[in-house]
Amino acid sequence: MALKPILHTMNAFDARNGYTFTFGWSGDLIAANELTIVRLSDGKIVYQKQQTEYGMVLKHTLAPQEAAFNDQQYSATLKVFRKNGSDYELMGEASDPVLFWCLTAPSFSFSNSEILTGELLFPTITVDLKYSQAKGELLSEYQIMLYNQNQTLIDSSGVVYAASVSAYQYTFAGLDDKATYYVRALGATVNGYALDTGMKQLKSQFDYKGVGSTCILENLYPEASIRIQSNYVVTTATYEPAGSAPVFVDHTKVDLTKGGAVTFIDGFELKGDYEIKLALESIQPNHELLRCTDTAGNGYTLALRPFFLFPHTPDGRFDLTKGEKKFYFLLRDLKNGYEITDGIRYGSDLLSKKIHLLVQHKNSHYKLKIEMEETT
Amino acid sequence: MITGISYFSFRGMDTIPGSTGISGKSLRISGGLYDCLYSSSSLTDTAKNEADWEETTILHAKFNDDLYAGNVNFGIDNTTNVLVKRREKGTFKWLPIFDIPVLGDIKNLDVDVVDRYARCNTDYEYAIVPIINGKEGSYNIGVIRSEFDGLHLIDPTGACHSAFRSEWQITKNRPSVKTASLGSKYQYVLYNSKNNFYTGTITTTFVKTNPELCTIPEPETLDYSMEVMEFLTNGRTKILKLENGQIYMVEIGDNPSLSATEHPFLPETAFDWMQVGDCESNEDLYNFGLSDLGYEWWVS
Repeated sequence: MALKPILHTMNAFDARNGYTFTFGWSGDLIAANELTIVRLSDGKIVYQKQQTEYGMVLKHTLAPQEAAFNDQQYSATLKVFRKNGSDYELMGEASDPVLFWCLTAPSFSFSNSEILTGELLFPTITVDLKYSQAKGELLSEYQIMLYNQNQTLIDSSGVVYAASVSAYQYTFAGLDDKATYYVRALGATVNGYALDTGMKQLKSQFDYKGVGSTCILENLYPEASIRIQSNYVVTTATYEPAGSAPVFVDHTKVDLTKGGAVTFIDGFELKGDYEIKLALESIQPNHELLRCTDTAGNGYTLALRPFFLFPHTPDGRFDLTKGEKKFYFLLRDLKNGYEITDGIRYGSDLLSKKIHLLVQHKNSHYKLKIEMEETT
Repeated sequence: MITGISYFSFRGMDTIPGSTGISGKSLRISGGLYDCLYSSSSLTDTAKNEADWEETTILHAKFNDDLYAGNVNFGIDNTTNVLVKRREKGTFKWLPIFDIPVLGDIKNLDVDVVDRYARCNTDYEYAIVPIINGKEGSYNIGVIRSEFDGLHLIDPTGACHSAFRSEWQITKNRPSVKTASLGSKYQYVLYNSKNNFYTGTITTTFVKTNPELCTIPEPETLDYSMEVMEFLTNGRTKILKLENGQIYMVEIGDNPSLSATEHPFLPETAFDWMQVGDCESNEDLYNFGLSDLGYEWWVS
């Protein structure tokens, strides 16, 4: 039996990128090799070229777009030659033909906004893969992997066969806050085109309150069990007027200057000794700043009241031409009817400042304290 | 910059009497641009709040685009479920073990569950995870070492425990077929299945102990052994846990037995078991009736 080179089988490739065919040969030293590529659709030879490489260099390199064009199937055969004087002499027979596809590179990428921005806001991410190919080449399989900041694999979807799923996705859960991760997907089309998204960096920065909310664990030794309890404090608030939404300013303040009110009604109880602290600005005179009541409606309100301060004339009358607007805080006990006024007269500059307000309830006595801060 | 400080005063007092016995259940604010509401049972006397959530905190609203004033930024309006997950410390993958539907009731956010399938001598991390608007919220994580003594057999209907005179033997099973061929000097070993599981036998005395008195109420132990026989033969898949850290999902063999010992009220119970699943597999736990956690929480 005559010797023949063995042309290695290959995956589909994008003709725009070129390709290097490799082969095996167990005969004499090769001086040249010749690759012939036939387009299967019409049997036309689209490429036939000798490449002279001295030594056992078992490859034939096709330059980008040199012969094959995308989205066609081809057949390749290879011959090897020895040097005989100035001529090249065929050794053995041509290789068996190898079939291959040239395909326009498929689009294979992540479509999550988190991966596009690189910012992870939640401890769970469902990674969505987007795949398409110009001529409808199908995705055969894929695998989505998660790496830690050292690029060590920590979780993987395993190989998922695309035909068996309705969406190309996988969920990674339990990611840590303030950590760096990398996500990568590998895949292959039905004709073997290798796909790789590359490593995509994700930095986690979760936006949540964690302080004070703990997972309380207890080892129940006799029962060989672990008890798990939460201490979530969840409150419920309503906004008035009903049917409208509160307006937030700078993502850190709620605007209740235009008649709106927020009422916290569930998940807490103010009893015994306690204090309430408010930080607010653009304070509205004659509004109830605070109303604290029990289920029967007893409690107290706090408001800022305006008044005019007139100087006395020399004869002891008020000089109504020189009045100055002042303000005082008024706390009204709804049960016993006390109306308690602050002894401090505040000027109009109060309205442009940030107010820190303390209402303290201790031993059934109220205490009020106010600090003012220049607004920035 | 603090520009003015004043103290509330009335007729010379810096505090004034108020109503007694009022329990504030409703707090309403209006008439300003609010950036913080804070309430605490710890009295500081300062008007400016610099504390975050502490043990004595009652309310803390930051108004960061929401009206939540608890220690979490979710509420019953946007939270559908709370998941409890577990993993061995040092590993990455979480195993969901409980799902608590919130159903619009704030009380359902008070998680209080018991995990009976944790192995011994193992450090575990547990996470309580709210499902907010269909996405997992923050992982609220705690760490604990699981410890117990003796052996425990657990199924959804009950459990039994023995820390007394236990003997066990465990076998790893990897079935294969040995076959000879004419052309080979050596035999072939064929593995015709993926079978790869443990079986074992246990001999022990099940006793009901009184932990406070450290005594064994002897006549009752015989009754208890009979109860255990019923438990062993109830046809339910069980979790077998040993104090050395071994844990298996098992079926009990056909014929558990009781045999007399030198003590008339302390018989020995002996039974065989066969591993039927993976204790760390949600699918196995669900399929064998050991967990009712629906597939929606563990199928990717």
